[in-house]
Amino acid sequence: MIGDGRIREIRWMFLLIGGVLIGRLVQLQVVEHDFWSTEAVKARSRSWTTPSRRGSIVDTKGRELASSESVYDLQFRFGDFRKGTQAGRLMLAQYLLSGERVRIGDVLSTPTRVLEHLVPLTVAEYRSIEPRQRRLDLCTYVSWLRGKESSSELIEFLNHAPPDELFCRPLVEEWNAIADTVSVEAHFVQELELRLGWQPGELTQRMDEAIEWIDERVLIALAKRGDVEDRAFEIERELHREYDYRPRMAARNVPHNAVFELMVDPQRFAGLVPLEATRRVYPEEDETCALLIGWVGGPSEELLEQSRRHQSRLDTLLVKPEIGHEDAREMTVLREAIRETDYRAEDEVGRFGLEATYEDLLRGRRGYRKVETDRLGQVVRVLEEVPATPGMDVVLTLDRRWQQVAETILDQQAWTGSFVLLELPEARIRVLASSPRLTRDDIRQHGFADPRGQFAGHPRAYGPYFPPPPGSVVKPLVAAMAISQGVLDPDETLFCNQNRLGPDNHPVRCLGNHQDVRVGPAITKSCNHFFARLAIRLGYEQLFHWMEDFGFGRSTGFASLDLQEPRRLFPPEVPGTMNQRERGERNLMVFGFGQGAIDDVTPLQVAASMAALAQRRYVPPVLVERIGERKTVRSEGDPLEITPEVWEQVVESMRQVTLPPDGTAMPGRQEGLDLSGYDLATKTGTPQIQDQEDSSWIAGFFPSKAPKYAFALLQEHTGLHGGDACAPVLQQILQSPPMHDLEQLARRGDPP
Amino acid sequence: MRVRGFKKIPWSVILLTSVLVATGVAFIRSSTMGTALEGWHRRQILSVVMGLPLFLLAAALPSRFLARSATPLYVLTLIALALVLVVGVEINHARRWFAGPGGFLLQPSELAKPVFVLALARYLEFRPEPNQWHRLIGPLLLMLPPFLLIQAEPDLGTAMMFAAILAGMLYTAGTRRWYFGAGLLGALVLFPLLLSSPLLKDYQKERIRAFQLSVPAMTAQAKEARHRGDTSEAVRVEQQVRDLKRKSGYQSYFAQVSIGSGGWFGQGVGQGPQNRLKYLPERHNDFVFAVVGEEAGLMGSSLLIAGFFLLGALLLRIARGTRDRFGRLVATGAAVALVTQAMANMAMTMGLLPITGLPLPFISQGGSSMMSSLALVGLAVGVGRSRLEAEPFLYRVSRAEDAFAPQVSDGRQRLTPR
Repeated sequence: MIGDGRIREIRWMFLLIGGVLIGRLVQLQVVEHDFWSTEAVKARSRSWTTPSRRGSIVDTKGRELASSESVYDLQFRFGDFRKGTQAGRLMLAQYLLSGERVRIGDVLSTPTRVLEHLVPLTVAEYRSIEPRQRRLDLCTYVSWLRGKESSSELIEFLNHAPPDELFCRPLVEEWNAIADTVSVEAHFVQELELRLGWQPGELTQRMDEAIEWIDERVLIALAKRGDVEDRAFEIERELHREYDYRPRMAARNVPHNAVFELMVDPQRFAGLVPLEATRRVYPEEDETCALLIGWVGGPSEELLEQSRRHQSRLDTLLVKPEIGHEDAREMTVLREAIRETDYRAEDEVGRFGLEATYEDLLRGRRGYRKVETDRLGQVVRVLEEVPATPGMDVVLTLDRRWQQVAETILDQQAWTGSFVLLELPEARIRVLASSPRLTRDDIRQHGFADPRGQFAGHPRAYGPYFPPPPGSVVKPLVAAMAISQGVLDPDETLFCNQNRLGPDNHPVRCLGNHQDVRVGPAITKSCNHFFARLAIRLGYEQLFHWMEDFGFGRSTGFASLDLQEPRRLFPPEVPGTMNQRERGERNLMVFGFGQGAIDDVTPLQVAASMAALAQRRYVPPVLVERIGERKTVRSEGDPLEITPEVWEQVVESMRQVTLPPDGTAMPGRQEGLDLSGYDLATKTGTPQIQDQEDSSWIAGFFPSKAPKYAFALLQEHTGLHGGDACAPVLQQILQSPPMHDLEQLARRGDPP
Repeated sequence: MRVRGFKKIPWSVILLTSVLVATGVAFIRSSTMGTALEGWHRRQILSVVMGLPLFLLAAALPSRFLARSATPLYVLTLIALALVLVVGVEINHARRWFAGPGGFLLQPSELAKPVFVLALARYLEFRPEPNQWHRLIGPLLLMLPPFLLIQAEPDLGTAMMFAAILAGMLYTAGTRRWYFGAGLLGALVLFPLLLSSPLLKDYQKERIRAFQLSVPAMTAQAKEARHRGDTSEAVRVEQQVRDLKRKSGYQSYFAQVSIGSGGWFGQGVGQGPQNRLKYLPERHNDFVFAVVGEEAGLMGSSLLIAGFFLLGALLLRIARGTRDRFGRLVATGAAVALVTQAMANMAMTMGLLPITGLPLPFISQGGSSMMSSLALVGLAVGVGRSRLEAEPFLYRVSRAEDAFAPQVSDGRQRLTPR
């Protein structure tokens, strides 16, 4: 008889196996629970970042100088195409049948050509297809063509059907339906090409190129595997499963209307996947303030390196045997940085101008979206979402239309130059124009390679070139300070003998023989000898001190929001030079009328000095009105020791500059020149630079009695007197239609 | 007598089987919700309904009748197994099913199990203890035809079940223990050869190779290599892990992910994300235990394991409770067939065995499996039910076979002629 012992032993064996299974359960569900839970979340969740819109740069009236628009990149995924479209299925069926790829364009235009191969296929012919896997795949694609999920029915039929039977008889009846669906797909592609502004067939050609790329990779990988003849198809199939889902870029910067349908219904044409991105755009009609606003480009290697460093640090932490509290915190920070703030190769980065200066505020922060998907990739729910933070808008004090006018007029002149217009009392920069007017492409191509600044790509209003000295435009400044501080009596006369002042070999020249001249006419007539003698009286230290009070020899910091946190502009603002080393009597004399020790100044500095005179207070000019919600923080300015009486006297003499009979910019000096109708307080300047033609200035403010605007206009190396070269340009700017309000203000002498 | 017979019906077995069947229906409903297979739990109920006649027949037919029918049934089964290779439906590269009306598929290899139990019991019933090598030849020859035919489908898992049933019944019949030890050792030695043998299809070999790899261990290995600074090793192992997850180890990996993420109490029936989001392959049939693991957690899964153990124990108690050699062998065979298959399925799902395509008795969706399992339980119930009724007959038979009745002395069974 069978022993009970054996049966009991079997029971014990069951118990033992059961125990092992429960042990394994404990291992999986308790000991390794965290690991598997993480794997589960990883497996069913997908995450991606959403681009942040880069902040706009706008003028004082909200007109855009730089903005970002949403664009889409269009990717092509062959794996989805061959499975999800009738054209793709036909293409694959043909490939499995003949081993040759048909071009997508051909399938879309004449699907019946593939059907003509497929439909007459007999069961015997089908059975002759080798290897077996190829046959099964063909069945799968034909079943999909017919809208069937599974190929088992077709395989079953093929196993039993007589050899001369048609491979798939229903295809005959469904011929038209399949061809119609492909026509709809073809129509969609044609419309897309139209919206993209492409030639017919261009999109399908790119898709074909993507497939060729995949085929090449597969062939290379296949060749590396060596002798796999018997399993070649299976390996190729395996490789295709790997490569076919690698997205290839079909089109960049695709407009929204082109991909709208695909966004709404991705199944409209499976395989074409739109991805959201943003692109920087600048006003199309011109390149207003191109140098100042700058541009964006790809991130530098340095910036990318930072991202790599973060990733590397994170990898190091991830593989630490024990992760402590601090490590976990650091990992969170690093993950966030990598996800949201670190630069990626496809990012736009401010490379020049304000785009670079305010890169950190303009760029915003990428968003993040984590979703749960089912096995087919359909989003089931959103697990985590951090919306993208758009970059801050930078609002400038500039007036884009005025800027345009100034740039255009400057560009029309025979000389390079600059025009700066400040609105008082805060010295808001309304115009900061430089000529020649360069496009972004010019700068990108030529850069700043020439150290002498011969390439005119520098922003002359403030940038790193070799600006001229201020010349006579400093005379009213010196006079106002000298009289106010009692160094000069307003009625005192100083003698001008034209060429006979200073050393014999290098005498200080004056353009006119003014004889005994008082300060007022000396300003109006721009007498050099008067100011040379005054300079001797004042001495170097006093003049340096006053020039500094008027803002020469130091950066204005105009592009910073807050002067306590100065920002580096690209290219940087030049501070100008006051040369305190080369002293001597002659140098001191020419210093009195804005040359010699004062080597160079920028037009912005000259305009700021005029604003300082106009208000008897130096206020640093400001370009940035606000960034996001942050408004400009500026000081009240530094008051200048100029009494109102002296100010009025100096202003009166400056008013005479544009008036006959003695003004250096009076009507008639040049054809058509007549600024006499305007209430301007101006001063011209003709600085001399060794071995170069004289440059020309006109600077001042208006209305003269209640100044609202200060300006400086420079024309370089004209060889002409300041008034002759610059006054007509100033007149042209004032009289151009967009400046109408400004012109009215200047003409009437009161605010509009 | 009738009342006593009624009392002798092993209700506990029937009750436990019912609980298992109900559990199966619940989890099939959970695993097919929101999919194209939604409503397949009703098909499972239909399978139970179709299996009930088999259960009743197996439980009600006299033991001797079943014994006499074993040989013709065995022959018929072999014919069916051969026929399915010719006219069967091919699904997923395997030809295991006869197509029936209304999309119903009949898997003869499943129904072959109770038949094989009967045939083997019948063979061993009147033969001496198979405790010598040459006495094992007969049972092996009995197993070989269905084994080879099923492996040709191919269906290694089901084929191996025949080997398990054979081993279990031979052990019960008294085969020496060291034969099993030697067999096990031989299997271990031959295992590497199996990987290069043409007996196995490529995908079967891949599954066996994948089973040998552990994702957590490899992940830790890659992490350790990175920590060590051995990037090339780390990349190599990470690639292996990726391949494992995507290719050969895909099913096993996702099954373990589902079970592992279940934790102590699971995510709730119908709430398991891996199941709900369709990540788990074959979740309504071969991998239904992973759904149990994810949704019922350690507690629920352990209960299920305990349930199968209890079922096995109850069937073995029936075996011990009868003096009929045939009945003992049948009940033991049924217990071994059901419990071994259940445990093999669960071990496979948990990554302890290579993936072989074995359904979990009573739980996995599948008509043939349900009918086969109910028939096996029915056979055991029949043995239990007929214990008293069979006694006079058993006595008669045992007298006739007295000469070969094994005697128990000093712990070893011996063939002691009287």
